[in-house]
Amino acid sequence: MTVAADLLKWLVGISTLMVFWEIAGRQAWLGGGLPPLSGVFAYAIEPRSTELLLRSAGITATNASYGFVIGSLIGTLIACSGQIWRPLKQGLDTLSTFVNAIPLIALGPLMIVTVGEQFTPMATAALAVFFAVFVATLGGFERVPNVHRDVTRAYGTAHWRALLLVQFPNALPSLIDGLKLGVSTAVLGAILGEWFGAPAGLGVLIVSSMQNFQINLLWSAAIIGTVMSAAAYFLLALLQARLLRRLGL
Amino acid sequence: MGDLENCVMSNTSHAQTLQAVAGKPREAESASITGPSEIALTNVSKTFALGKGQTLDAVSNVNLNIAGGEFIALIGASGCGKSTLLRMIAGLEDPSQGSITIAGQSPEDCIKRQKLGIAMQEHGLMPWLSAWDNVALPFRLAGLPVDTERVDELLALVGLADFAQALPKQLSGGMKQRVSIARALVLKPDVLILDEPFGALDAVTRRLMNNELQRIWSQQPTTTILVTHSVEEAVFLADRICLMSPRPGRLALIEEVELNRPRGLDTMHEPEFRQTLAKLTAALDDVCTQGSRQ
Repeated sequence: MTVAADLLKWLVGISTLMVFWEIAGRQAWLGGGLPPLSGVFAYAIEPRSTELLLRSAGITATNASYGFVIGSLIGTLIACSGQIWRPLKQGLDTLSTFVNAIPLIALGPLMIVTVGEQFTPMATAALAVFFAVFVATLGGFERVPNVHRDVTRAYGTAHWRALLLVQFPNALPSLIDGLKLGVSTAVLGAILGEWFGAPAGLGVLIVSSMQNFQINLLWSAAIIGTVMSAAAYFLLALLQARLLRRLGL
Repeated sequence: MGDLENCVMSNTSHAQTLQAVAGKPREAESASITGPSEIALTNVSKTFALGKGQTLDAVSNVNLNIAGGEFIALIGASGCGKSTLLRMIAGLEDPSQGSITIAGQSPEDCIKRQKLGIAMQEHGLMPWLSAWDNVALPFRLAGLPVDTERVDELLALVGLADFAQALPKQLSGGMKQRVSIARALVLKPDVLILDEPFGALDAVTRRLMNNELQRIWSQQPTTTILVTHSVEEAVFLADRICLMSPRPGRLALIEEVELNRPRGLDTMHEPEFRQTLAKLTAALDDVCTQGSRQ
């Protein structure tokens, strides 16, 4: 019932936006920069452009996925290690905050010269994901009920065992919230990384179409990036709902 | 109040404490300690720092000697330090002053040897684990192999054998507390710590649960310390009742309960029960009003 209602709201929202876009494009309210949506679609379904867009999207998706997995793992592991070795926690918190404070834009060129053009998109994606997942996991640990802590302490439980049996399952819902946030930033991070000079991907397509004033290609690439982000987000939301039900939380 | 002097410990040495311990030996590697443990509290005080130089005296100078296998109830007004005292005995807080020994050892040692069972007002069950797995959790937390027969036995003891696979959210409040008590008992603890385990239950369920606890306890006598707001609960369950004064918590009165065991629901209708209840209720009111007048 609520799912259907949510879906309806979504459809209404998106179709309103699409209709508005079409009108704005036809009336050329924003000049040549915003073509009508139908024109963008017509361009995108031409076999040659479809092939180009899908190939680029596939590369970006791969970069974003690697970055997402690596960034999530690092974020989770760092948050967990702070729980096992308490003295580490403060230092790791500070380090992570500093790493997050470095603008990706500044890091991009540094990555190009260190990890190389090929891997820069994955690295920027991983960096973007890392902090969201790290903070969310830490937040999850903070929310472990006191009575659960007392129970683990009353049996003289080793830190790593308490983490595995009590703290981590408690932190899972929050961790998944972090993953949901992270997955959209992973796509953004990958595109940004490609922008800095990767061999291929949506980011490369966006730069070259912008410079060559291929407006329809530019919008097509932007739309595909958005759809990818949103699809990954919803996939994770679905997974979260399932998992929470399984965990009885 | 002749027993007050008996209970107040002056200088019990560890050797004496160990001598007093009786019961069957545990097969665990810690062969020196056996059976329900004697607990000795000597000049125990707890002061919390509230920040900005302010402090709060929660517990002040408590002396108490609990015999092995004894059931003690701690009663007193809200915020009188009962739970703090209990948490210190359980090794979850350190006393600011004084010492606590369980069978001659510190509470921390007791924790390391898994000799403690705790159940709190919040059941503290892991929502993602079935009733069975929740009862088995202490084995896993302690890094011991799970004794499945023992878990089955405990679930049967608390009358939940048919609910082994149910998740906590599928159980009623009373059932969750029963799982929590089964969990507290599963490692055959020498000391059972109960902090208002039935505080969140309705009156009828609470009486039934008291009866259950009494039955379970008589089947495996364990040194037990119960914190409760209910004088009725304390009289029904305990061998001795310690009444604590309002903050800073001191032992104001220690009352022996002269009711025969096993006790059942009809015990509550005995004149002896009524008398003890009336006496303690009056004493509690007295102690609390004195506190508020100060």
